[in-house]
Amino acid sequence: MADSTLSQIAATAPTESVHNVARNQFLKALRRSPKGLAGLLLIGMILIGAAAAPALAPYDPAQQVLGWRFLPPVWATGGGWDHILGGDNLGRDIFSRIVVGARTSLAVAIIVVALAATIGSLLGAVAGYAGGIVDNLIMRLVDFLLAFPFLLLALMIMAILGPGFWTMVLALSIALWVNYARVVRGEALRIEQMEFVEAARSIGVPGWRIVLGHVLPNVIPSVLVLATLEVALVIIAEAALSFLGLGVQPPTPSWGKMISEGRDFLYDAPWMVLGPGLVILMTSVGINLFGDFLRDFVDPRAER
Amino acid sequence: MSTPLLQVHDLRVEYASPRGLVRAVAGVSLSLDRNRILGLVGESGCGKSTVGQALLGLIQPPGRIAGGDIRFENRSLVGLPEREMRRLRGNRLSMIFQDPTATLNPVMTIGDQIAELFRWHRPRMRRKEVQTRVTELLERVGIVDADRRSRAYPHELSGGMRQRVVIACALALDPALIVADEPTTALDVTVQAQILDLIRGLQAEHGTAVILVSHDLGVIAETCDDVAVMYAGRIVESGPTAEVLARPRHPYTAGLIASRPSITAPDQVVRPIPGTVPDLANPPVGCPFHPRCVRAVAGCREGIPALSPTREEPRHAVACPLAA
Repeated sequence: MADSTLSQIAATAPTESVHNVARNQFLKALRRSPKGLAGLLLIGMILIGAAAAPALAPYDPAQQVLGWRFLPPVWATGGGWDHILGGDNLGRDIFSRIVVGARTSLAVAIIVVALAATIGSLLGAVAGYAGGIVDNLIMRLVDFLLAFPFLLLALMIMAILGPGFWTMVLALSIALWVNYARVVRGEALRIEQMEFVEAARSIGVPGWRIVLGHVLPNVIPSVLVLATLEVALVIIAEAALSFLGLGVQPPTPSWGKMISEGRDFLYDAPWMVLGPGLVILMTSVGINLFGDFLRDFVDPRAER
Repeated sequence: MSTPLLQVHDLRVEYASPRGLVRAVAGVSLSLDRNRILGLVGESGCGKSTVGQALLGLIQPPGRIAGGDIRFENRSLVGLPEREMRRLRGNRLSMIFQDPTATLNPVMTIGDQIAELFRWHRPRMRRKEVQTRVTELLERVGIVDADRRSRAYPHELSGGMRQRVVIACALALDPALIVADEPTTALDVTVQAQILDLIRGLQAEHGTAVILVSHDLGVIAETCDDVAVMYAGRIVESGPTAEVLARPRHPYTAGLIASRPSITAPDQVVRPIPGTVPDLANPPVGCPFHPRCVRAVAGCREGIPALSPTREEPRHAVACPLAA
């Protein structure tokens, strides 16, 4: 009697869907955080620009017009609204190239981070859960890769594989997955100690399923935060590799490539590096701000 | 008479620690029939939970089963390959843990968590059928609106409800033995009574054997048919619950009972047992309880007393030569 009344009372309490609750909390925190809003705004601008690139770009980014060579931007004498950011050494419209190049840079960043996060999280979770020899093998490989500076490692791999979009993606992924493996292994060790993992074991759930079904879903918040922060890192790395001539090949525009082309004309046509430099700055600042906000949101100890 | 469902013989569990070998369980023997509830009582660190874990083969390194045998349904569980053990867990023997909040995965709906049992032990069962069974189970443990509740996440439920879900998990495949490790310690007293009622009701309904691990003599007195009192990794007294609690023979059992405040005699002074649980890496010589024992004599330092039946009641056994 007392039993059933109590559970009835408990049962009549509203059970709002957990997704709605989480979403509301997230939006509320976002509204209160100037950091998160600014980051989201910057990322949104860049993403919309990249998505709408063909419509937004006034000219074909590969089109070369002799008269547009070293055309100054709108704010310099001799510039005009036709070519807001001016023209480059080959007479191509810089604004169009930036807009279209955003696709390359963002594609590299997103593919690399997705790949690295997946591989790294999986191996990290396995290492943390399995322990012993498996853990040692995976983590010593991680240590080995971490001993090289990130960009140098990517450069070495590209030197072996040759230049190109996909080799760059591969090289950056190989250089980056180690970060996820480390973070996830630590988290997995913590989660493995939790009672629900022992409970899962106590009902006969096999090890691989515990890793995939119980450990990994619980580390997703940490991985998500790391991933946002690393998108910025990859964009800069892509710029650096393309700058060195190892990344995407001409005539495909990419931000890093544009800076590397503009380097020779830094004194005569500084606007050639100014435009792409600024968008790289904007993107990485935007993503870092948003990532910071995400980290604070996910970390219960951080001030709200 | 047929052989008991569970027979534990001289079970030893050791943990390797930097300070040396910790003998968490130092030779425990017990047996349990179907449809019986056995209570395991003792202070924190006496090895009662370790016994429960050992039964399900959940002892993880640096711990290991160092000796003895566990016979369950006429097969030995010690040294059984992990594959075989996994087939038994949740299926023939299952466990209810102390803290329902920690026992449930926070990112999985409770329905999915119960369904996982069917997934591993009844792989041929259809999805739909699993869903019906989950709903049935939730109803059986007293959760109203079970169908909708099965899609809730653990944090959306109260502590008592969560423990009901954990019990539903333990019951799902109708196991022969359930180890309940302090199932009510993390709950309010009112909810405690409900959960104990529930466990007892379901146990009687299915004829399941239950081992109830607890430090609470009240819980044991209310629930268990038999009781085994553990101290420093050993059983020091065992027998029918009413008999042991009414006429405790071992000074430790008597001490445990005297250290409980009584509601009927509020003026009675609570007498705690002096001292603390011995360091199991470095246990005292002789009877492990003698340093704290009020009746200790010189002979207590020589040899560990064996559990032997008392003269008046053969089912009541005690490991103290002064008391037998």
